[in-house]
Parts: sequence; C-alpha cells; structure tokens
Amino acid sequence: MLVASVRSLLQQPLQLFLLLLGMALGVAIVAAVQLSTASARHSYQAAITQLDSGATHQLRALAGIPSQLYVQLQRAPQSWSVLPVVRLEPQFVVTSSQGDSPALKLQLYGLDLLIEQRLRPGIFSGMVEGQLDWSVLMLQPSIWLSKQVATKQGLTIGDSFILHTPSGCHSVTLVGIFDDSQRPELAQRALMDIGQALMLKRETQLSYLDMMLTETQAEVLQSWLIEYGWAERVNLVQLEQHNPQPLGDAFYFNLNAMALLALLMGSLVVYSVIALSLQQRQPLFATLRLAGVSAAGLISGLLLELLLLSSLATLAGIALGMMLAHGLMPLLVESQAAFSVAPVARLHLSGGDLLRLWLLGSGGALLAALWPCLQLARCSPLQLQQPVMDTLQPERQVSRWRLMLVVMLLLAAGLLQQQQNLWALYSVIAALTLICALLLAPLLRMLALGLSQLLRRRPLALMVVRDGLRQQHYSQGMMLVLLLSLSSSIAISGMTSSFHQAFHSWLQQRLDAAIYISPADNHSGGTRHLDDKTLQALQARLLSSPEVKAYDLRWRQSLWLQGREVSLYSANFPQAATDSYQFIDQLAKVDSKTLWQQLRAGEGVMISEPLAWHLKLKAGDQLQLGPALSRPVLAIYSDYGSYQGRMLVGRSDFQRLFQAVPPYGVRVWLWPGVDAQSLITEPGWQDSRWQLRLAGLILQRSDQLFEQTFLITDALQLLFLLVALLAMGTNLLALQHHRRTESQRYRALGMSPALRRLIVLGQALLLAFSAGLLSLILGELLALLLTEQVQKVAFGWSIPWQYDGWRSLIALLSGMVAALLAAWLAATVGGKS
Amino acid sequence: MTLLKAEQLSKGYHQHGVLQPVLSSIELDLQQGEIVLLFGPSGEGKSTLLHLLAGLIRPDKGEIWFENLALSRASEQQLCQLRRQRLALVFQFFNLIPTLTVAENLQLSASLAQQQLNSHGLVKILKQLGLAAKAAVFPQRLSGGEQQRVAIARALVTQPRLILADEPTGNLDRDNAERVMTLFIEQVRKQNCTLLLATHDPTLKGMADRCLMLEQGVLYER
Repeated sequence: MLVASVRSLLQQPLQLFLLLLGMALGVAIVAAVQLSTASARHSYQAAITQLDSGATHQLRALAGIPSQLYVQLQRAPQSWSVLPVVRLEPQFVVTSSQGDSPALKLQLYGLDLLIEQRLRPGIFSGMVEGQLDWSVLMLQPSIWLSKQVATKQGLTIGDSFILHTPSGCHSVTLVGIFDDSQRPELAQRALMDIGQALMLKRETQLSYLDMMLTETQAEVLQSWLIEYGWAERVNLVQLEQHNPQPLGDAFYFNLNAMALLALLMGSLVVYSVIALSLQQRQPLFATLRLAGVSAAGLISGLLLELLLLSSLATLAGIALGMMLAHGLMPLLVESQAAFSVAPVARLHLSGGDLLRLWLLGSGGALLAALWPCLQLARCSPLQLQQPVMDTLQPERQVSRWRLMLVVMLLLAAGLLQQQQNLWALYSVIAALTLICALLLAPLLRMLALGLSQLLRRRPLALMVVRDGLRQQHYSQGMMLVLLLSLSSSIAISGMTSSFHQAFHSWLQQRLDAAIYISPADNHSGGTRHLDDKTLQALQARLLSSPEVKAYDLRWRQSLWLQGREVSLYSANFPQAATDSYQFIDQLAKVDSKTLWQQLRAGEGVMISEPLAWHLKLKAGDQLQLGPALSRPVLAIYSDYGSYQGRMLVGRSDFQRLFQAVPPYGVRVWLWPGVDAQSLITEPGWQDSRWQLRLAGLILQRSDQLFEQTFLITDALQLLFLLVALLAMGTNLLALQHHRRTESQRYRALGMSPALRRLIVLGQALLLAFSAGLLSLILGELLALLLTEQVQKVAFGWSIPWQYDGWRSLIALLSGMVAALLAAWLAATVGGKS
Repeated sequence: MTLLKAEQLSKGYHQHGVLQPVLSSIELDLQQGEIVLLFGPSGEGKSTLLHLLAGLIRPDKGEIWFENLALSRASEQQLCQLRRQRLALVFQFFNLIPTLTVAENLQLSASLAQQQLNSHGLVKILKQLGLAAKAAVFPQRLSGGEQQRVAIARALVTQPRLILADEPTGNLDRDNAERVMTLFIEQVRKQNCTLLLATHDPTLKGMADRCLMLEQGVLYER
C-alpha cells in the first residue's frame, strides 16, 4: 500500500518538491534561530559564569569589590571558600611574536592561581603545555592561552608578545597552554595572575568574588555582610537563580516566536500540499479501500509516508538552517553588542538540539497533515469514488462555532488572569489572531458581495470576484499566511518604532546638559570614579570657563532592594537638571518644584517607573533603603534607561548609605550660543584623565545601538516573508491545480493565457486585499498590546503606542505585491503543468 | 462556400513512450450553414478531432483552414480570437461558469467577443431556448437539460460561424435530449451557422445535412 501511495505521489514531482521545500524552509528558519541563539546563549553563559563549575554564589557590586572585603573574608573565622576574579572586558588584542598573524580579541581573567589550583583545579588539570611555575610570575607579566589561540597566533611556551590594553601596550610571556578542545568557551580566554591583571587594569577593585557555599553558609555570610557594613555596597547573588539578562531573554523569546511563526507557515504549506495530494490520489485510495484496506490502515500508511518525507525534509532543513545560522551570526553578535554580551565563539549544535529540531519539523508536518488525513478516513469507499472529493472541502470542515468557543475561552482565560501576567497577554494575542483568522471568510464574502454589486455589468470581473469564494480550502490558507506574516510584521515594527520613538524623545529630553564628563579608561566594566586630583583639576577647568553656565556632579551606587539590583543616583539637582524629568505619579497637592526641594533635603526619594512597577510602589509609599533608613516615594518618573530600576536620592542620604564614594561623572550646561563641539577642542578641556561626550553624540550612539539590536529581527522578518511567499504560492498553485479543468473551459471560451493569468492575479489581489485589511487591524492591535502591555509587564516601562499610516500602507502594499508574485508564479507554473 | 477545411490531418498521443496514432490523414470540408453529424465508436478520436478544429490542440501533421486562417500556424492569441468571435464549443458536461448566473454566462461570452448584448437581445435568446425565467439563476440550481440549453445559448449568443458540439445530449435522458437537440438545430438554422456535432444518437440523422463516420482514425462520409 505504501509503495503504491508513494509511487502515486512521485508522479507529481512539483507537489513533492513543494512539500519538501515547505517543510525544509520552516525547519530551516527555526533551526537557524535555535542554533544561533543557542550558540549565543552558550557563549554568554560561559562568559558570565565562573571559569570552572563549583562556585555557587558571587559577591558583586556595581563599583567593583574592594580588596579590603576580600581580605576580611579570608580572615573571617567561618573559612569560606572565596575565589577573587578580575575580569577585563574583551578589549585586549594579542599580537603574535612574529607579527604576521591577525590580531585577536581576548577576554582576560585575573585569578589567584594559588587558590584556584586548590579550590577548582579544573582549568589547570587540562594544561597541555607548560606548567604553573610560580617563579615566572615574579619576573614579568605572564599569561596562559588556550591551545586554539596559541596555534592561531603561532605562539609557543616562552614566547613574548605584545598585549594591547586600554592602559597601554605590555610585553607578556606565554607560560602555559591549556586544552580547550572539550570546552570551546575557553577558547577566547586568557588567564593571568590576579596581581598582574590589576596592574593592567590600573585599579585595586576586584571584579567579583566567586564563592562556594552551602545554603546555611550563604545565610551566615549575608548576616556577616550586614554586621560588617558591607550589605549595602555588595550583593550576594546565588548563581543558579540569578538572571542578569532579562532583556536578552525577551530578545531571544521574540526571535523564537518569529521562528515558530515561520514553522507555522511551513506547516500551512504542508497542509495545502497534502490536501491537494490526497485529492489527486483519491482514485487510488478508493481502490485500496474497496480492496479491503481499513480507514485506520490507510491513515497509518499515509502518516508513515509523511514521516519518511518529513524526516528527509527536516534533515535538509537543518542543513539549510546551519547555513542560515552562519549568516545570522554576525547580525546576532551585532545585536548582542547592545546588551554587552560576550562574542559568540562558534556554532553550537548538540544532539539534543538535533533531536528537538527533528521532532519539531516532523511533528509539525504530521500535525499539519492530520486534518486532511482524518477527513479522508471519514469518507466511505463509495464516497471516495466520487469524481471530486467534495468531502474534503473545508467549507463544512471548519466548525466555526466550535473554534469560536475555543477563542472565547482563550480570551476569557487571558482576561481573567491578573493583568501582570505575560502568559495572559500572550493568550489574548493568540485569541485575537484566531478571531481574525475566523473573520477572514466572512470579510471576503462581504467584500465579494459589495464588489459584485459594483461590477454587475462586467461578467469577467464578477467571475473573478465570486471565484474567490470557492475552494476556500486553499484561498483561506493563502489568506491565513498573509494575515500571519503581515500582522506580525506590522506588530513588531509598530512595537519597535513606538519604543524607538519613546526612547529617543526620552533620551533627548534627559540629555539636557551639553557635555557629559566621565573618567577615562572606562573599559573594565563596573563604575569608575573621578579621583580627588582629577576632580579638582576638572572643577578648576569648569570654574575658569566663562562659557559654562552650570555643572553638576553625579554619584552612583547599587543597592539590593527586595531581590533587585537597583542603581541609586545622587546629584545636587540644579534647576536645569530637573526640568527633563516627567512624573508619572507624584505626591498629591505638591508641585514639582517642592518635590525636588524635598529630594535635595533628603525628605524622600524618586524612583523610576520600572522600579515602581516591579516593587508595586506608588507615590507616598515608604521605601526601606537600609537598616535604619526609610524614605517616602516623592514621585515616580518615566525612565527607559534601566529595566532593573533606578532611584534618585538626595546627597545627604547617599552619603549616609555609602559614606565617601567619589562622583562618577559631571554634567555641564553652557550659556546659549556657545558651541559645545568647538569648546571642547580648546586647550585645557581635553585631558587624559577624563573623557568628554557631547549630548548629540550620545544620542546618535544610542540610536545606532537601538538599530543594531533590531537588525536580526529585520533579517528574520525578511526570511519568514519568504516562507509566506512560498506558502501563498503553494496554496495558489494547489488552487490552480484544483481548477485546471476550469482553465480549459476558459480556454475553450477564447480566453488567452494572459487573460487567464490575469484572472488568477485578480483573485489573488482580492484575497490579499481582504487579508491585508484584516492584517492592518490585527497588526496594529497586536502592536498596541506588545507596546503598551507586554513591554509594561516584561520591563515595567510605559511606551505609548504610535500609529504610523505609512507602516500600514507599506505592509499592505508589500503583502499585495507578495501575493501577486505568488499568483504569477502559480499561474505560470500551473499553466505549464 | 467552404468555411473550414482540414487537409491530411494526423494526431497521436504518447503512451508509455510509444506514439499511439488517433487520427490519420483526415480530410474534411465544412460549408457555410450546413449541419454535419460525426458518428463513431467511443475512443476513436471524435473529441480529438473537434479539439483540433477548435485550435485547442495542434495537429502532428496536416493543416486546418478556418476561412483564411491556418490553425496550426496561428498564434495562441489568434486562436483565442477565433474562439471568441467565430467559433463556439458545446460540451457534454455543459462547462458553464458556476459563479455566474445564466444571464452573466451569456454576457461573459458576448463581452469576450467584444459584442454588446443588451437586455432585449438577452431576453430574446433566453426565451428562444425556454430559459427566460432562469436568467438570474446559478447553473448548479438548473437541471441537466436546462444547463445544456444555457450552454447552447452561450454558444449562439456571439453568432459564431461554426459551432462544434461534443455529444451535447450524452448526459441527458431521451426526452430532454430530444427537446434540447430540436431547439439547438432550430436556432442554428435560424442563424445560418455551421454545426459539426459529434454524437452516438442515430435519430438525429434526419435533422442533419451530412453524416460522417470516424473509425480507426479514418474519416469518411456515411
């Protein structure tokens, strides 16, 4: 039976090709996204977690860990296992000794080699060349490299080479090569002694402390930190629970959602091609059933056939996906740069990934084919002998009321959930999409009826319009694909453009000063501060410049509030600096001017909207900042700078919390008419101890970062528009195939090939227009939900949804062009076949 | 006056890589206004001959002249033009456009032939075929006999020079078939157009001017 069925399918090579292509492309996009994001995650995880497994906790602080804390911890009677780490961002470039190899960026870690070897010796046990020779550390800067890097740079043990760092060029000696074959995340690492790393970094702060603690030990440590006054300056983070990249996670979530959408469209291709294929093989099935094959036997045979085909297509899809992933990687790395994530080392494909992709591809195909197969099973052998398998027509297949019930249930489930729930919002999105999918046919019917009235005297046009209502099996498939691709495209671009607009205008407002000054050499991550000498020099410079209207010093520290790492900001907040803050909520009957006075006087704090959202705070609520420090929330201000949350506190409160922390930056306001750009080129302004940034340049760089972040999204949108095009083409081709006898009828009536093609184009245009109209509504609704609700729930900030007519028009036009292209292909290929 | 002339017409189909001849060296003359019946066993190539004469398929050998147009050398556009204005086809399974009403089916043919079909003309032809009350009805709501009468009306509405009919009553019962054929022949005579009708029904012989027989790929007068 299987042989007869497959041979029959092989007689339709075009369909077979489309079937395989539909599945392969759907799987390819999912595979590409999965592989590239999994690789990125893998590298990221490797970059943020400890060098070797074992550490359970980390002590972190935005400004870095003071060495005194490390010393105190070592001397503490509890004997905690503490491993100090100095991490330098991947700014270091290694040049080979010969000077002919290309330069390479490395992530440099400074470790206490003695402690590392004792507590987590994994990295050194894999040493392939060289050894831990403590004497070399005394001589000159020494370094350990991975085997891959050493080979690439042509370096051997004992070679000296140049290491470029932001603090200058250093000659270092290679003293060890470690094996990275089993651990690719180590490939881009360089290790050195912690003391030497601190010298390179030119500071005394450690990046973080890795700790190996039991739960009880962690509790004891927490109390110890409070007792010794460290609790407000450092945070003890449990590594398994710490999620430092919610923005990154949301970004990956969006990518995966888009990829799954592509798979859904691939499934629609499979669905339409399978339905057509079953129709064509109907006489064969009739014969088999009459010969005694049971319906169940027929279905299982068909599903087995499909499993073979889908496995083949999935494998092709994975191969194609890997190629696509290679293409997507640079875009992903670009996007990730916006999140300061480590670069992706290599494509990561595990056996689990392969199995998951195979299950996804084959499962999707089987699910898509299940409905037409079940319909076939319902037909009696005599029904199968009918010339046209109307029993497989969908008009009666879709029990709309049943579907509507599911939709209403989904919607109700969504609405009944508490509003602060992402899944509730996603179920509303799914319900809205389903409702629109169900409205496709009634809308088309309405449009067709209206047009029929207008075109009463044009029978050819009438025929085109009314034909759109027939064989909805295929036409609705095409409309559904268009609805999904256009609405998601409108929704995503609506959300990103609204976000971009809100972010841009917020930043423009917030960058109210002309010049921003920060310490130089801010490459090592964490917060750098302006030391006393630098501050004095800088203030002298500012006070001696008649162009300077005002300046304000800024302080920053991190504070752990109800499980969130919150950035605390303090300044003198002159009038010029306060105008840019927009309050979402503030104390009743108090004007803004008074609120700022209260903040300066330490009578309260102001918090950012994301912080208020996550901690469920409103103006007037009391906030516990420290063991004996509680302040009311004076106002909640709009902020897109941090989803973790930020807080403004007065100088006195800041000093009470963090004692004498030096400022990290200065804002400078100039008199009207002064050109900031030319001012900073004047002598005395440029100094190696600080860096000057103009507000305009910061804004420009932020815009660049924003666009960079969404590069990958644009690329994926294009990719799945391609799948949508294919899906539409397949549906239209199937429709053409189904109507091929009608095409002969038109030919007998004297219709030329061009006219017959025009009919197909006209029908496609009508279908695309109907789907496009609904997509505009659905797309903007989804954009509204994503922008105003999903963003709020996920990140805590309010973004006003911005309607853009051009966005809708472009989407509608591109959808119609894609539909026309698909129709033209279908008419051409269908006409030839 | 000769309307259509076929010379040395041959056509075959490939089956399993082997050419199976269907028609060989067919010679045919159709005069203006004559009604010709084409008899022959099933599968002997009657439909193929009609399709060749309508320009729907091209001959392997030979030539068909429709007035001054050589069909085997004509472009697809010319053949379409021919079928729109000078030639009409009537099929056994009616082949009406299901999404158009009876009146709209007729209007479509007229508009393709770039002819104006006013409501007076439409009503007249529908009345002649007993379909006046069915003008706004869709084909699937008509009986087989009614559908075939619509197909005939559609063929006649453009006043073609030649009508090629492929067993138009093959799908109808005896009474309906007789009624339809009587109306058909009557209208053809009225319009003085030529009719080549492939049929198995020997009772129609009395209505025809000539009868032809197609057997084993060879055409001869009967």
